[in-house]
Amino acid sequence: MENKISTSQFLLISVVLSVTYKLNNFATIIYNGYKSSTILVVIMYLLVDILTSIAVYKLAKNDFWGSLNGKRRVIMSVALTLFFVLKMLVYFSEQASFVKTYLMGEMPSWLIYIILLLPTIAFSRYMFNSLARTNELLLPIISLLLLLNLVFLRVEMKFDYNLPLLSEYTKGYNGVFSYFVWSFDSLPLIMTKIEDKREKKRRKFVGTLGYSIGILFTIMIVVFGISIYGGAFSKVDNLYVKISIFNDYNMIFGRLDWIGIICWLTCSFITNSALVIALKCSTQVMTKTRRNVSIIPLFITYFLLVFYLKDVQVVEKLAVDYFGFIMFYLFMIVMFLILFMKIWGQNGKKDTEK
Amino acid sequence: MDNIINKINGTFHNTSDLKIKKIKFEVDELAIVYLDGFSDKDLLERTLVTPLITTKYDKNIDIDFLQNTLTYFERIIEINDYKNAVDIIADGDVVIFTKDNKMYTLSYKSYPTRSISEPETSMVVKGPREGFIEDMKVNTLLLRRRLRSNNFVINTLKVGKYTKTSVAICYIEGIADNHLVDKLKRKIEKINIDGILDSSYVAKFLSNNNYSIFKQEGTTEKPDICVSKMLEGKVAIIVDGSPIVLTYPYAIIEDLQDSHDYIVRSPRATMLRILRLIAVVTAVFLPCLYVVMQEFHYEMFPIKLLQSVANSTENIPLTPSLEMLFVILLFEVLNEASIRMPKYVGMALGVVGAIVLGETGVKSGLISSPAVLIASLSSIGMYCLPDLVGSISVLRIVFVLICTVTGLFGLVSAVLITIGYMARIEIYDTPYLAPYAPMIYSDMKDGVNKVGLRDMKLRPLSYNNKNKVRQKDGE
Repeated sequence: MENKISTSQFLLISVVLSVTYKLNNFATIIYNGYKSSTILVVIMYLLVDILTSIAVYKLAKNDFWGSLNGKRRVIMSVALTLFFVLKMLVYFSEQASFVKTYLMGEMPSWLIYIILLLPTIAFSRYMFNSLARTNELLLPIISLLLLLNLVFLRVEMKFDYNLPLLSEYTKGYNGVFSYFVWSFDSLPLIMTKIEDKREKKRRKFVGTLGYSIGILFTIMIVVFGISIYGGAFSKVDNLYVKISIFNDYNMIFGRLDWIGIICWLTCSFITNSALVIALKCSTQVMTKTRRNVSIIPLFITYFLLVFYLKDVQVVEKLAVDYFGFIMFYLFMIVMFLILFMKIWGQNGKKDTEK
Repeated sequence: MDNIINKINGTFHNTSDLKIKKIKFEVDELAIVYLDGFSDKDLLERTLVTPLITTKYDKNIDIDFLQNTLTYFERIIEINDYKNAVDIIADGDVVIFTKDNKMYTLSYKSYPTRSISEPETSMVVKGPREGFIEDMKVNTLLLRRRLRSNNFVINTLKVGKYTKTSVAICYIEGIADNHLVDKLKRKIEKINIDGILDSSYVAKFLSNNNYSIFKQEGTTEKPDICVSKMLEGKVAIIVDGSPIVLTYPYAIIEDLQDSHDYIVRSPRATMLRILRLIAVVTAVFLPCLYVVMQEFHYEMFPIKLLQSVANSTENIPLTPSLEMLFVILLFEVLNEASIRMPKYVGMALGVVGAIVLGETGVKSGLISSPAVLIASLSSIGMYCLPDLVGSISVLRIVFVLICTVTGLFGLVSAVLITIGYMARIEIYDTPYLAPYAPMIYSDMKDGVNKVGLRDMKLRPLSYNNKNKVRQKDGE
């Protein structure tokens, strides 16, 4: 019950997970390596996320996590726990840095991380069902606010900053593995079970529509961002906020970047909470207990971020230099295990039948 | 006979309002036992005592004799259990004891009740004005008058060790979910308490989240609203002695709906609902946003507004958060005092609170006018949804406290925790935030946006009900 969600809930939460941190620093980070090809790289990463979402959807539909048993779950949970912890390190650090930059410059880091952890811990108690409902309630409001911000943009944009697409890149496409920290975002949803109690068709339609709009919206914002900033794009952090600065109605309503700030903050809380809930599920299986043992890796993450990895740039450098590769291989291991387990599971079934 | 009378007196511990009238016949003897005050003395004398005294009878008293003599009563019932007879007397009815230990009951209960009037908490401009009163029988009758169907069922239970309060479970067979009816019945039967004095007592036992600040049950004081809820598949619970009827299951959207919305045209109803929603959001968030903007993020203000706020708050000795808390708490105290005080003193207190305290507070430079304005706006907004006043009142104070220390960051975090908590609540399998979380598209027709009655072809899918079709062509 606690992790049961509907198709539309899955797709809507999946789009928030896939988009939030990509619009924070991801696009600007890769701009350093790919310049005007950035948009293609972003689209490629989004495609990877779409494929991940489809794969996770198929698995969640068949209650993959619930149907696993014994050793299989333990092996999976070890890989997933490591994956979620690495992701948490980067995402928590990015959120804390955002709060420092935009909201509470004088607030001590330890307090920022505590406030940051509170909703995630609360949701790890409420579980995915509650998170999906919260997201379902807030996402239409957030989307409407962001859309209004975009509609009333008044700024000079040079779309040819996005061109030529393929001629200008330095790292080569092998480097894309470095950025896999910002990928496979819908993997936490592997712990859910999809069940449509009512209005099946409508749920699929609304979910798919919401997901598609979310992805197109992300691409559009990146295109707008590059068109507005040109070469200075690499210095831009958080496109949600920066784009809303150019709103036509700033003089009437006050600085409308606050809308972007609140929207991004909400989305980041939802993303982080999904990670922590998934971490809770995987650690419970790993340690074979019903207790919330995820509190231990959470505490370790908190400790690392407050005392050792204080600067977000250090974390991001670590993410690009090491975590990206590790997480890519972890994801591959998880996928390989799933594939292997499918065959293994079938063989097991055949054996029992015999 | 004396033995029986002594036994009854002993059972009732010689209470002074227990009345026993002995009547002797040629062969037999009987005692009429009742509690004083429940019955009209004159009527009792004319219809019960006089016919028995004036009749001569030389056999043992039996039910036929009583039925032939006491023609005023439609039904006289023989009771076999002494405990049952005691309960009936305690309930206000009359019991006749005969010498050979036979017991008969006849209903005589008639006690003064409040007349049916329009409830003060749900006044309407147009539409029915009748409201429930404290008498359960009148209340069930008010429902019966609107539901003249053999499918309307009332099951009555007695609850409370001493009060033995009647609790009626009302539903429409064929629409209401039987599992829900059984579940409610079981829970009510399990209540083991000294007394039930109001429906809210029962509500506490039917709730799964006792410490939640959000209400867990639908409440209404109007029979038309109660019937409309039962037609959606809900179950109504009437408690004797309370004018407030409980309805289950409950979703928070119910409090946004008003009976007036179903009388006016749907665009007007939608507009009213949006206004109510804005009022609630204002009530909860305006005070804390003021604190956030003043304490941490004054750049959030548009420049002209910032100038005006800065001018007004220039010489205020309190910090914005303390100032806001002071004004809100002052309002809460005034509100509490005006409810408790006699009506006319209460009105005077309102004037004192609004004019004297507010104006002198601002003039003396203790509180600023923006703070008073914001607290007033918030308080007015709060009363747009009177059923949610309790929750909103607590939330706005908690949010102000959170914002005092953690600013907007803490506020967003707290709001998410609150929404997450609300999203988690399910009241008898109905999600608390339905039809928006989870989204139930068909039910959104009667959500913030209200469509015309002809387009609401299905009953709400948020609630478990047996029959989903409300209008025939909805199939």
